[in-house]
Amino acid sequence: MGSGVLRSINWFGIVAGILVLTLPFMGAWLIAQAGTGAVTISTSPFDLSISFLGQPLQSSLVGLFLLFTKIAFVIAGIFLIMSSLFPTSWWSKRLFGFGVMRPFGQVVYLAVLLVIAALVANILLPSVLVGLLGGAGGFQISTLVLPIVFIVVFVVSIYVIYKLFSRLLAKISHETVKSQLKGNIILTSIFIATLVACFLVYQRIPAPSTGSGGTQVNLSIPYVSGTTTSTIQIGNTLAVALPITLSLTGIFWVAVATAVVCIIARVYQGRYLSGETTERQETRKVMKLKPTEKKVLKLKAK
Amino acid sequence: MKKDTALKLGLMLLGILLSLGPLIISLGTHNWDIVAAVMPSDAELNQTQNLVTGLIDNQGFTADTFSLGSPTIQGNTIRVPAQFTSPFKIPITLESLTISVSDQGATIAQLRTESSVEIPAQGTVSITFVGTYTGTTLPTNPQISGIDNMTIEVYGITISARLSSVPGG
Repeated sequence: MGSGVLRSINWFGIVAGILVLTLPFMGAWLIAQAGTGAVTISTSPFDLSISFLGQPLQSSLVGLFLLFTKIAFVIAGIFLIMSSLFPTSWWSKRLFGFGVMRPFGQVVYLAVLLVIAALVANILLPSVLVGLLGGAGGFQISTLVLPIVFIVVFVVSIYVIYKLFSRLLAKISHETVKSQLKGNIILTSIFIATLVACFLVYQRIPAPSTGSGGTQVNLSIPYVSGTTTSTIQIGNTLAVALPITLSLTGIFWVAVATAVVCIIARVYQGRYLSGETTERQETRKVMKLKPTEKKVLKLKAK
Repeated sequence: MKKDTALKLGLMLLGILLSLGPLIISLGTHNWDIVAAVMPSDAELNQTQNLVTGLIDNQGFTADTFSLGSPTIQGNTIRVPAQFTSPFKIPITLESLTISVSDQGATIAQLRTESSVEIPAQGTVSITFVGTYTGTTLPTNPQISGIDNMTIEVYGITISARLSSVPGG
């Protein structure tokens, strides 16, 4: 293989492709546990394993979705490697675009999903449980207002963060890089906006709900990672303390690294497509010109 | 240009197939019943239900759950050795247990387990109840008149129950 051909390979893309290809088979990204083995959930965008007192529980629909995500990643990995080996071929851009942002999307999706799930569980679930256990309780006005506050803060945050990033983006002169970074900035804005909204709403979470029967539910689920203890008190007769642990595994950080490599590969590939390929296309165009047209072009250049 | 458009359409179709495929396949194999497609199978749910309902022996706490031994007194502290047979079909940790003890029909003391003890599934362990006793003579026939408080740990979940039942009563 000549040095020119080697130089034209997108090595970042090759690494990204291998990582994308292997990521679905590495294992769980997140492990959630209630008690010590009472409920265990190991999950990633490709696998979900739920066990209740050691008894596994499976959903056919969820299982198929995860299997298809796995297949999508394998295809995306192969496409990434192929398009990185031949970055100037006509199909390269399309194949590259098919899977390059998938890891980043999945990482952001999982993080956002966790934060929203924890928020919903921490705010709404205590009221629902009090309603179920204590008869009274139910939803409080402040509880219903919180999701609205969340949505408003979320939208405003996205707008503000996107505007801030756009200002930074304006300083980048390379058009292709700029357009590619735009997509990443939108996703990052959504992620940061979710965190900001969650934090602000968290400040307004009401005190543990108490029903008329003396039922008190203090549900506390960690945001993304950590250990908390939730308590349920039914009158003076029963009290249950349930430790909940959420931990991100090393594979999650491999996924984050994969997402970063993919972004670098995308920027690198973008430079190829807008730089080297455009140059080649221009050369090809000039070669196709008639001799008289070539003369005109030379004169114009002078 | 035509090749590029064809590839673009092909990839778009592949994306749609990968997104909607599982939904269509899963619903199709479950007679378009979304609940059946999402929920675990009946067999799994039944096994889980049996696990939960089978956690405790059908009879629960009975007179045979505890058998008290001969008490000893040191100062105003009374110690009563006992055998505890767990009615739970899973291993538990008995964190604390408070009982009322009577002798000749009259409540003489409220006793508490000395330390936490791990008990295997439906296993029997020796425990010691400790409490304050103001009587002058040793109880001759101590009986448990009631279980006041019990704290157990099951699968890392701590459950504290205030009871007022008399075993076997």
